[in-house]
Amino acid sequence: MDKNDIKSMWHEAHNISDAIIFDKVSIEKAITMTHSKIISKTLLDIKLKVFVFILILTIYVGLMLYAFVYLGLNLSVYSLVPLTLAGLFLLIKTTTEIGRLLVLTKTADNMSVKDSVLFFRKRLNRIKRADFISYLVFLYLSSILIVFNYLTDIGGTKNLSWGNQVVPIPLLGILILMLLLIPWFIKYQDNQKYKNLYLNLNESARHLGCTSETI
Amino acid sequence: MEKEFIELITKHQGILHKICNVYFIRNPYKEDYYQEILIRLWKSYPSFRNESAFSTWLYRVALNTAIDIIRKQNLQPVHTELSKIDYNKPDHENNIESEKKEILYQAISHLSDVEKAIIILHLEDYNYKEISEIIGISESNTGVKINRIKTQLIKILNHGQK
Repeated sequence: MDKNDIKSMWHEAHNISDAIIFDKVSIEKAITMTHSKIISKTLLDIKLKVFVFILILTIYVGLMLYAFVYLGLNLSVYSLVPLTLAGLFLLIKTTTEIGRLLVLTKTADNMSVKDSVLFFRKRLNRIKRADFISYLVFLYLSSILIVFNYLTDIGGTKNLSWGNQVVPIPLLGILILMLLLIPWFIKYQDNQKYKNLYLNLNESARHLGCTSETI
Repeated sequence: MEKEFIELITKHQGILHKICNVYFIRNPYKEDYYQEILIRLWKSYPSFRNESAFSTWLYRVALNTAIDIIRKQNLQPVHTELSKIDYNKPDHENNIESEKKEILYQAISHLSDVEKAIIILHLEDYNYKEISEIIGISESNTGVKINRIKTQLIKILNHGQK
């Protein structure tokens, strides 16, 4: 078989029958839809997750505001640490799912295949970067605030108790270190989450002859 | 506009059929993905300005959509139960009439997503210039790619015939 045979084989194969095979799919019906059923279901699953996480996060923030601002509750570090971690977990889960939804709904169908790959890659990078930077800013500012509060002893920070004992400096150090490391952990997690997507994009980019500068 | 679009799609359904076979040959959601391509074609239709042939525009959008669907499956695998419940397997599923067609699609399935796009356009008699515009690479690069892909396909086909 030589190279020209492939083309004739293709034409012969499609001469036999190219009747309307997808007769079950009505074009009129299809164009009234936003997505096909399977894609809609997939997106709905993520939207539902996002909604649930946002709802829980809103309730959490509402309760915290009610407790600390309205009731003026004064909790020990022993109670504050798990509450803060729970809040952080909810925040991370919510932004992760929003990021996934954003990636799945971005499309660039009218461009050339190469531009579409580059556009998608750029969008994906932007979503990942925004995710990372928002965590970085939020958590680093929180850390700075904790250190500042401790040094100036605002609200008696130096006498914060943990099981009736004053919180030792190393413990505060560990807490701050955790806050500083979380953005990098999120970055690692994102890299793992989008690993297969990047493999696919890199393969496409390689076939399209994209240089490292363009991607 | 809707009537015009439906007429054009009906006329060019063979293109969508070929793209779906190339990208989703053994995929149980082929019919659903066909529908998704249709929907995205309709959404993109206002941007079609008659600057190129309708079929060229159709290939561009449909190929991008098919590649996009495969790419995003890496991030979020599709719901596995729905199609079994909501869709009966189409009558034509796995019933490709020609053995040649079957062999050819099987061979093409070994190619990457981009290579599939290039070879389908070449097999559909698009010239290098048109292919380079749809794919976004230079004409000379298109020629090189087509040659490489065809060599690869022949290897696969000959190996399969042994």
